[in-house]
Amino acid sequence: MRGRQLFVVAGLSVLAGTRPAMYRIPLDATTTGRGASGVATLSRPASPFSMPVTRDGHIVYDVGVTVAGLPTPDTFNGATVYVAWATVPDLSLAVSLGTLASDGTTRGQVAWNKFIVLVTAERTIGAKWSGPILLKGSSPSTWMQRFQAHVTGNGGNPDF
Amino acid sequence: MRAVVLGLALFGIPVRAQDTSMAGMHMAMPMGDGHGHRMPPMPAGMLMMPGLDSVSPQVTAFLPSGSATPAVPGTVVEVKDGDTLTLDARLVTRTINGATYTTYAYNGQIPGPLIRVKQNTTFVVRFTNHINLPSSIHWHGVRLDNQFDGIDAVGPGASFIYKVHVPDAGLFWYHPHIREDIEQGLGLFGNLRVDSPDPAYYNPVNAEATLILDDLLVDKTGLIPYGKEGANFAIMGRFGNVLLVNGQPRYHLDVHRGDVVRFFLTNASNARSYNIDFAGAKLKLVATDESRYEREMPVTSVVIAPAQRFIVEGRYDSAGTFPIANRVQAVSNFAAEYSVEADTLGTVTVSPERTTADHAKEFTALRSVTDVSKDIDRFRSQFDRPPDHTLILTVNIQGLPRSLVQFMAIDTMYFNPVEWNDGMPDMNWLSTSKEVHWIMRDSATGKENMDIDWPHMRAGQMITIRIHNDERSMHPMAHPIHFHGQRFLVIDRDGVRNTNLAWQDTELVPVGTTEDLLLDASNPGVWMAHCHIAEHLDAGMMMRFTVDP
Repeated sequence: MRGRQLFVVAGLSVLAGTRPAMYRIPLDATTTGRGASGVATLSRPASPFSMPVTRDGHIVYDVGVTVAGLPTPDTFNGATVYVAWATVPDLSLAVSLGTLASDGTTRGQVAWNKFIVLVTAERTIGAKWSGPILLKGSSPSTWMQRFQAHVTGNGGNPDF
Repeated sequence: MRAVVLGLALFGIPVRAQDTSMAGMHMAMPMGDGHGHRMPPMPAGMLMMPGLDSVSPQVTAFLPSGSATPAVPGTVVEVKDGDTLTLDARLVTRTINGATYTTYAYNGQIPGPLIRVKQNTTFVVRFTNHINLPSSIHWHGVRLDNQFDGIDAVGPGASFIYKVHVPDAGLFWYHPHIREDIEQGLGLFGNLRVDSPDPAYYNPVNAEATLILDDLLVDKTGLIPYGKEGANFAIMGRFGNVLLVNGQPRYHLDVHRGDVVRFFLTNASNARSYNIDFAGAKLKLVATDESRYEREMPVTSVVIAPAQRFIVEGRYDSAGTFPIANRVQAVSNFAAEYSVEADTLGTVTVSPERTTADHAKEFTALRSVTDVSKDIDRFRSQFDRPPDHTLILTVNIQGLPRSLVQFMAIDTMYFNPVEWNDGMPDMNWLSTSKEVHWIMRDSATGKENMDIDWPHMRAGQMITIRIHNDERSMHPMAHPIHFHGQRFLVIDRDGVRNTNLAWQDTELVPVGTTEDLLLDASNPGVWMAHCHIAEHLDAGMMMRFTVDP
């Protein structure tokens, strides 16, 4: 039943033009960060090629993060800064996208196929976050669904 | 039981027998297996959609056949001003990885002869078409006289004389402009290298290598058939599963330690974009389609879309054998996963002996090419003009089974901005140019493809063209857009100024992106602009524009 719902959502989203934007990641506030909002925007770094990639073929994105509605960092257990991160879905790799400036923005770069953007409150900046996660959003590539999740047993036909 | 019902109820496309007569051409077309279409083999780890094994594309299966001689490697032909060169298109046999295929070739050579000529000379090509399809020679990127652009068909057995004037130095190529999906796809392509009279035009190097990238789609039986009445693989284009350099699967080059090699790269594939990694070499990019860059720049790999050319120099500092590989992050739409795809196209063996002429100093220096900048300076004042024209790239798909379309709706919940691989070969194979209509839409008028009627340009006029690849379409895909007979600059990408320019004739427009071009409409005539994915061209993605004298 869930599969059928997913399928219908997928089909309708295309028809209605509501497929997730390719280069814009809404950042949703966690319970801890409620009241905040944000967005991560993906863009192409300067390159002689239309699509910049790494040697092994990962597409390279500049990631611009803009956040609003956060209180001062010390609200969160003595944190001093807000930091934006990119991490892979299993959280095994992480890279800092930068410390949020006073206007709530920062900019970094990522070259992973699927990734999550996080904003955390930190006392110090380490290799990974240690403070609370306040906002999070997933790259559009995470929207790919296994066909098995879409009732492939009946070919994905909602009328079947 | 469900699977059986699926095949019948959802994909009720009749299996078409092979048509053994080419309409109007009276040619026999015995197929390799005598059974018409065959579904392309699924890549390892990629699952086929249930039920698709019982259906086939709605076009007649086609493969070339007839008396053929074995192809030979391409030769280099030096052509001088006023010379006449003879080229023909003919059937050949090619043996690749132990299997023999019947394909096409210019002068029996794969690739066709590398024509080398000095800038600003004129030569004549006497072309005879010995294949059983209409053909032609399009001189890709050359700003030549309109009547010799090669978009008009030369019938089977007929001849045509092309007068080719080459005003620009650079790396060009030639290929048919009739059913490119079949003819170019099966080997009708070659390079035209136009050399500047300036001996310092390029940096000093120890060796030069010309690499034409191509791919063939085969299974154990032979070539996967094409569509007679129109292209199959119309959604994504035909991605081959055998990757070739200069028509062969194992390119090799021997150099000495410390040598600098200049690689001339051309992508002659129907649909595949490559990310070429030269392991063991430091790389710098020096030129593209029609000129050098304003500034040389280091790169780690070369992203090259169909019809594009790039010229890079590589310095090999260490001894060893190093692969030249296509390295991409492929997508399996069925599994919703990425996978590393690393196909070795060839190798470079670097001997321990030191180079006899060390060009390290010139290689390390990144030249600013003032000639190019000065040429472009004449046009910089035009960069901030609003677009004269805006083209939207999109697609209309009608007539495919509804369930297939619905599967595609899932498939396109996400898509790579550039499709490095065919992530759904079974569905792609089924789609033909009867059902899939790729579109260039003029946003001002809503007119599409050949109905677009831009006001005539005047020779010498600079035209700003914005191209947006609509990510909201049913199945968006990156498109390499080629303008015939002119040259252009890519001045902005997604509104960001391009600060290192070169003259181009083909630009890849990834999904969801916007590219602003400044077209130097200098060459009178009625010209084409189109997507250079061969199947997209066959599926209508082309327009014309006129430059008045």
